[in-house]
Amino acid sequence: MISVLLGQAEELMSRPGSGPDGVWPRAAAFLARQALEDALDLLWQQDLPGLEFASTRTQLLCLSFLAPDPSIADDVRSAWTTLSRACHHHQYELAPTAAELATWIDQVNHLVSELRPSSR
Amino acid sequence: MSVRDEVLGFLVERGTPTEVVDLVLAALSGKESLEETLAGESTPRRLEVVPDEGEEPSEEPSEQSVYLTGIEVSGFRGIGPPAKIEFAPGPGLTVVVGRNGSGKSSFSDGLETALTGDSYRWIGKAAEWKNGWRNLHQPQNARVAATFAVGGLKGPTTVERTWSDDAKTVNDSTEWAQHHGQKRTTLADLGWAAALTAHRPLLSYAELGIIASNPSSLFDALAGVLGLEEMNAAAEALRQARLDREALDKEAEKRLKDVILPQLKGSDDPRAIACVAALGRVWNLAQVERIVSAEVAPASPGLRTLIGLAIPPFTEVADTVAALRGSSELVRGMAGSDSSRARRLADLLEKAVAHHQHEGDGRCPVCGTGTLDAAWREQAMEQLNGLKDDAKTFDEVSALQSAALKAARSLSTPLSLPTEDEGIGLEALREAMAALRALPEEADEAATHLEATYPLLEQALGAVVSAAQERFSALEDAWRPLALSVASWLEVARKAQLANPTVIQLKAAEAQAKEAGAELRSRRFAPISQQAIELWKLLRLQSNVDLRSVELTGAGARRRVDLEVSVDGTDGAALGIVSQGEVNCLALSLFFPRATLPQSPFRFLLIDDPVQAMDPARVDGLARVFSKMAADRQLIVMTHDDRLPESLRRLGLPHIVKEVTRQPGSVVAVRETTDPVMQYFRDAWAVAKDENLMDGVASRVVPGLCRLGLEAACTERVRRDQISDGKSHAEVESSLDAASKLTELTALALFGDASAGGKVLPTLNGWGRSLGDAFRDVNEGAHKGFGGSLTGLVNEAQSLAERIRLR
Repeated sequence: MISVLLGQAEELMSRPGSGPDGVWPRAAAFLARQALEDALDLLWQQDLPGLEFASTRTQLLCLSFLAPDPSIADDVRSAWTTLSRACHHHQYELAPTAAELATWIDQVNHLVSELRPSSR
Repeated sequence: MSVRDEVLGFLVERGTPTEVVDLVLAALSGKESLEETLAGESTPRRLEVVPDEGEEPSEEPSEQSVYLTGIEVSGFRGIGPPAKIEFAPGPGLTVVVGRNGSGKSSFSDGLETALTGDSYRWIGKAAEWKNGWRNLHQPQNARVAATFAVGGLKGPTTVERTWSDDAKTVNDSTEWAQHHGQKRTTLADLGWAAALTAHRPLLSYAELGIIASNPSSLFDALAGVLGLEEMNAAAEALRQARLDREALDKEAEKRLKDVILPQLKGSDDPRAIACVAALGRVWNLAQVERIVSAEVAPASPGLRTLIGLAIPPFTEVADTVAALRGSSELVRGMAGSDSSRARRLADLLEKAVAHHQHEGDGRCPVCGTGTLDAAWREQAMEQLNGLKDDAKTFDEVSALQSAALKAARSLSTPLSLPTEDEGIGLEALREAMAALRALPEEADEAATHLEATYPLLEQALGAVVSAAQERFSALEDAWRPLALSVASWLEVARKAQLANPTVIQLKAAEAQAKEAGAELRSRRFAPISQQAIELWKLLRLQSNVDLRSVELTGAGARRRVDLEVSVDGTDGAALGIVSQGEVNCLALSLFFPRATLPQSPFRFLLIDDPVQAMDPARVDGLARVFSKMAADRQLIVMTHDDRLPESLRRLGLPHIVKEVTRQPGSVVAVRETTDPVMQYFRDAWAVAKDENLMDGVASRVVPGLCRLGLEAACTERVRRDQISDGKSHAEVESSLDAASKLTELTALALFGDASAGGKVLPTLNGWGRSLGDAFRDVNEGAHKGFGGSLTGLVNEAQSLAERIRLR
């Protein structure tokens, strides 16, 4: 499911007309952020069932203690925060650009594979 | 009033001399007419102008009205496949928003390039910058086109510019222009070129920056609208005419110094020396002309005397010789003749009578026997009379000989020589003269002497004369080219001398033309300056910088725009202390009036990103100014964030927003998004209904979009309420930034208190259960997706948003 979400995000971005005009930047941001959140849920279901119901902020805090490599926790937090910013209405800010989104989706792709339980 | 009449009025009013006024007027009609007037061939037309007071120069409003209806771009800068942005013709404000790199500036650059063949972005940039005009993803089919609605013409007017695929530079393009239903022509045929420069309906952030960087280019940008080019051209024509004439003087002086004087000084001809004397500090050209035109005696007078030396011809000598010889023959033939005996006897008797007269009677002193007494005397006198008759023949012959001898003596000194020998040897001549002068007394000998020596003198004289002649011609030969050279210089010198009074008049005329130009400039600039000051008052808001006056001053390299500002009431502040945002506002204040003068045919004005480096308070001022301008102009403003649209929305100023987005591959799309709250819900609705989307996408995206709509509604409400309550922009901003979650934001919107989140859901439920549910579903679904009816969710969330923002 996670890879499907990311694939859909990339699809939205790269193919003009694959969704309603002008919606794709926000839509892709939502999909990428949910992919990252789903990856965390999956991790907790395997390692610490129940934590997936906590707030994302709590999950991110726990990750820095539980992850084998603390630097991954930092990366995940930074990627999630950045995507979240695009998923909220901020004064004066316009939707993210294609270049920004491409970078973020790449990051999430990488992080999702790092977080995959079987990879540990 | 035309420039010409205005100048005439100004000059007459200040009492400028007629000749100077004529020169300025002639210069206004061009170089040729100035030269004609200077040559006295014509007098410029003058009107009876009564200098009037206070009348503003009326300027013809343009007959055309041009609105922008669209820009189409492909393969150019940030735009790959064809993209089009459309505008409604007519007054109004359109804001084009797009993140940096979205392609919005490619539209404005496209319009500028279509109209001018170049872009401000590239002017003065290095070649590698200029090369960036092609799109990276679609480097072929580069094309920019703009469509306009021109008043009085049916259908659009199109301007298109294309590049062949191997064109290297942006300037290497092909353009055409066409009014709908008419023949294709060129851009030049539209007749917009002058107005494009003078009124420039395109302003970019980069261009606004010149106010701080280059005072002379700002001067040019502003002075261009005043239509005073002919005034500058007139001053330049006067200056050139003066320089031409001063060059004559300089040329004459230089030639004199470099060529003529060295030539003259290298010659020992007295005329050359006289010329040098006449060409001292003050040139006596008349004297020089007399010398070279040979009115003065040429060369040395001594030489002329030598050449003029002459003696009687030898035939005369031969006559005298013959007379000498003839008389001598006669004298000899008379020897023993009665006549000669009678002469001798008569001489004797005369002497005896004279003796008797002294001595008285006495013995004859000759014979000693006879007696000389009265009787003898009487007899002797009688005898003497008879003897004299007998001696007549002899006396005549004697007289003949004396005359011949006298002639011979005269011929022996035929010549007097000058004291100066002028470098010609006279010794041989003197010797010959001395030899001739030694004439014997005796007639035969004298004849022989003459015959022998006269030809020697003739010979010696001939040698001297021809030597003198030779020397004379040598001198003349040397002088002639010198005289020619001086004569040709004289022409230049005379022209220069003639031009001198003209130079003085031209100087006066040039000064008058410049003063008239400055006066006209300040008269015509006054309304622009006034408007700029008014605009600045609207724009400045909380700025402590007050714009007092704007003036175009100086000329040539020192031309500049003087902005007199005061800070906190203190005058004379420099622009340096003004912030970048304020500098841009100042520049806008100046460029607006220029672009919106009635004589411009362009009813549209496109401004690219004026909001950069501006704080939110000033954006409100800008929004008001834009809205005011848009009352009778088509104003298009490009901006990279939501500050300006937010301000316009909050202040309730009518406008249209177009959003530009750019997908990978330089695919650029434009859509109208005037109301961001509604836009989010429209987007959410479109996603919910989109059947092309992959499964699961919509349920995960729609709640997020609805949440964005609720957030936007809350933000709008907060900003509107708090600013109308008198809170500063900065305070509102920080309270919005602090409310990061939807519940906090909604509490801030509904109760003015972000910490009152607990009251939110009960309040919403009080409005209606479905609204409270929608709030919860949106908040949770933004993370987890929503399993229920997406279209229902969008409808409920939208109603909630409308309720929150009280619309």
